[in-house]
Amino acid sequence: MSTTNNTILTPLKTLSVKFLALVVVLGIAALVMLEAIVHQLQHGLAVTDLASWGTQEGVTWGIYIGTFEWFAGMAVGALAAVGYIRYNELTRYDIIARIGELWALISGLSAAYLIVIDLGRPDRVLNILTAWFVTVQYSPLAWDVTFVTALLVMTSAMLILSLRRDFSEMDLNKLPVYTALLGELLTLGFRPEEREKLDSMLRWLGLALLILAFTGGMVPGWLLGVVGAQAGWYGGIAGIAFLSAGLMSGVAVLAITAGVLRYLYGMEEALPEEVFVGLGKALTLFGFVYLVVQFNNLLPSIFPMAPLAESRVGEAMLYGHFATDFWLAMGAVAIPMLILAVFRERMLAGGVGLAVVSVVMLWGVWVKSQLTVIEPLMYSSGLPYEVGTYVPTLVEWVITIGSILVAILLFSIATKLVPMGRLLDDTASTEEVRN
Amino acid sequence: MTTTIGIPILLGLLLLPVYTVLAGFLFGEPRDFRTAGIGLGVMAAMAVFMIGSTAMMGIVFGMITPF
Amino acid sequence: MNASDPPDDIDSEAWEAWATEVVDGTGFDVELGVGLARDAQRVARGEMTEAEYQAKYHEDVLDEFGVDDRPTAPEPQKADGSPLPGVPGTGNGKRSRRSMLKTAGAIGLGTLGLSAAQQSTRTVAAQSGDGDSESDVQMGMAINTDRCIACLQCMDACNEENGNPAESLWMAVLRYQEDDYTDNEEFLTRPCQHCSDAPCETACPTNARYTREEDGIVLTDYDQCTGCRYCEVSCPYGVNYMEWAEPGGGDFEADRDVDGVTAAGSAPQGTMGKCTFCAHRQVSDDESLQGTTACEDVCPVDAIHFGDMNDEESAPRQHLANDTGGQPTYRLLEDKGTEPNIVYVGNEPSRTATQTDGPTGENEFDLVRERHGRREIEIGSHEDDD
Repeated sequence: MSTTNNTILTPLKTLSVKFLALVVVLGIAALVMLEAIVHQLQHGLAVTDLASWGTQEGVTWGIYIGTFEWFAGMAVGALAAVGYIRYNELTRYDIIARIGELWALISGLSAAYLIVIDLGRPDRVLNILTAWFVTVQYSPLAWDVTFVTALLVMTSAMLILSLRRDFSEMDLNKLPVYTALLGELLTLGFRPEEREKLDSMLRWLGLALLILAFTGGMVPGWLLGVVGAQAGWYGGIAGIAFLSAGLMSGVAVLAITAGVLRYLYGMEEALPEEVFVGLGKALTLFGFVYLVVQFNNLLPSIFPMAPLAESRVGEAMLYGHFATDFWLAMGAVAIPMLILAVFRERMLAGGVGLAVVSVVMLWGVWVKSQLTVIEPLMYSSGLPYEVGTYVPTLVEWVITIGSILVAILLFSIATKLVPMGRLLDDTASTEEVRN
Repeated sequence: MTTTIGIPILLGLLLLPVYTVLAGFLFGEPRDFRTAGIGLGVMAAMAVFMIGSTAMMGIVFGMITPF
Repeated sequence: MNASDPPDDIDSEAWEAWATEVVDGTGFDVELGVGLARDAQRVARGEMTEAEYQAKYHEDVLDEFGVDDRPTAPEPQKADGSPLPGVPGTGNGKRSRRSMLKTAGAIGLGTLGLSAAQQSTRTVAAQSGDGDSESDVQMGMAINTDRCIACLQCMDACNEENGNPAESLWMAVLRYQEDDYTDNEEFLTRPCQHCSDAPCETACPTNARYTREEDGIVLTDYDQCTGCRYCEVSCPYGVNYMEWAEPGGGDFEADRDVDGVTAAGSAPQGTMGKCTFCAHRQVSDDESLQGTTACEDVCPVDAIHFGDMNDEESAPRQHLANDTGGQPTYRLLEDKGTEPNIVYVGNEPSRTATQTDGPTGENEFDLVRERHGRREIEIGSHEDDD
């Protein structure tokens, strides 16, 4: 066996004290979050600061839905990256595809359970599925359920089938026992002549993921965009705005993960600098697109010809109550994007710099997601209601931050269970990697 | 109910990737229905799993929810 | 409604005598009126087409009233005469029957035609078991905000009747001012608008929000609702009230069951509630409760009028026809396309109207605005944000 890229197996084969400590810390966070979820289930949504818009002067959708939109976007972005890499068979980015498969699945799952936690009667979540045949004819929320289910099914299929191929190329005896067991399960009934077909199927699945990302991937945006009652949501750009945020945050989460893995496990061979250059370019482009879309979304609402309702929402965002959060969020995307564009070489060497700016950009998108959801409900229009208030409670913060930490925990555990990519152990593939 | 745009959205948009996978797995070169069947089986199983786990989540939440 | 029901057989002497008596009271041509009414029934029974009906009486109606506003243009059809799919007002014939009857009503014969049509529609529906058939009844309200004195008794009566917690204001009276130059305080009495094209129903992912076919009331199936609140964000009026906590309001004594669906009274915890037009009263065995609501009963200035908006003789239609006192009428946020079934009499609040500073009076009735557990609301406290 040559020494080309078997560093991809390093995360699998090592188990450091630091890693165990991380798992313990994240595990404690998960338990605290679980306690908060049980608390909310027992007492209902009264433990949140949500209230009906109108006379109760609250917002009825809050931080859970904002974070749902953020996670769903991240899933769409990761999905698109996986689809692009697998469809075009970009061997150099093989590890990124695996990371993307895991993140698309994890953030899709996080989005799904956050929406269930936001329900007044989460025990009745099945009603949404049993009524689906009727409601899919008109309810955007039913489309959203369809999209999230499709996302989870196709992403997990991509993960399973690509693992089947990757495991079939590995010597399972050299892997840790639990990974070997997983490998045996996934390569059940594998025949060597299957490989060529599997390659073809992964390409097709990649194309399907790309299509899913750019069509169904707009549904969580439409969920808000079709609501004529809420100025600031309604409009034709909602799906595009969601997609642009998703593409950026999806690439950002891949860049963070790749940077951290390379730093922690010394995976310089498996994650060469070109990969980070590629990710950095994508992040710069998507960050720019995101800002352009945001500007297009906001301009009509602040222009003097804007209808009153829209201008209230736009002005609160730009100069009013939410100005600080809004400009911080925009800065958190714009400044890293500019830094990446100007200092590309220095930023991307080693991947750590890219990881840092990615974190900042992800935070910016998260803040903007919250504003997008909350603000129109707070600045309601039409009838003479007061401006609402919303200060998330401790329970809401614990569940929201917990959901992010649990996602990190799930990914950390996954790095010890599945190989991060394909093992290329002949000279031909080495050449390919080098090129 | 005047809005029934959901059917074209479902069949013409949301299910596009499913058509792609079906066509690509079954008719893409090289033809190999066994492997394609495994792939489609995996997808079907995951669909059942996702819906089943949603149902499980509902049941577990129902046990905790007192109302 | 009319004093006595018409005899069934429109060709009988008894029917003739009954119709003559009714039309005589209107002071118009008796022979024409009776003829119109009889043929209106024939149209409703499908024995005569609407076009025939329009043509037969066009000259006589012009002679008697000097104008014939009845729609004489044929409805759009395909070349083969079949109805155009998807075009409102064609297809099932119900709309054409309805518009024809409206016309009959417009010349003082609504009671005859409408009751006949209702009977025939219901009979046909019962005989064929056709679940899709819609009734011609559309419950709604005429609310005269010019009369409203913001005593808030309707709000109190609503919560009492439905067993709502203090914070769920299915009926809310908003006090507002139009501008800073006058001190005129105006009131907006705001129940659910029971829209004919309700965005909340389109939003609902579980089909829990529905329109009751018999009378067009918009209700929530409390057993089906998951509490996702998409209906609430999609409603431009802000009439939905989620039960965030254990409601703990008063008792709801009536039956929650509406045609086998749990939809009357206060919403259970975690589900969405809103004004039901006192649905439990509409399905009650007690006839004196049918066609009434708690807010209407208690209003001391007779500002709220509840009834069938398609019935010329109903309380809201009568109020709109006779008692508006020259005030303008309007539907709330009509540009949203929701087709609300509440017609207001009085001044429409503009988009720049603001709530009046200071207490609004809910606490006199143990009603509150703030959701349980949230901080107290001060009206006018957010002016700086605007």
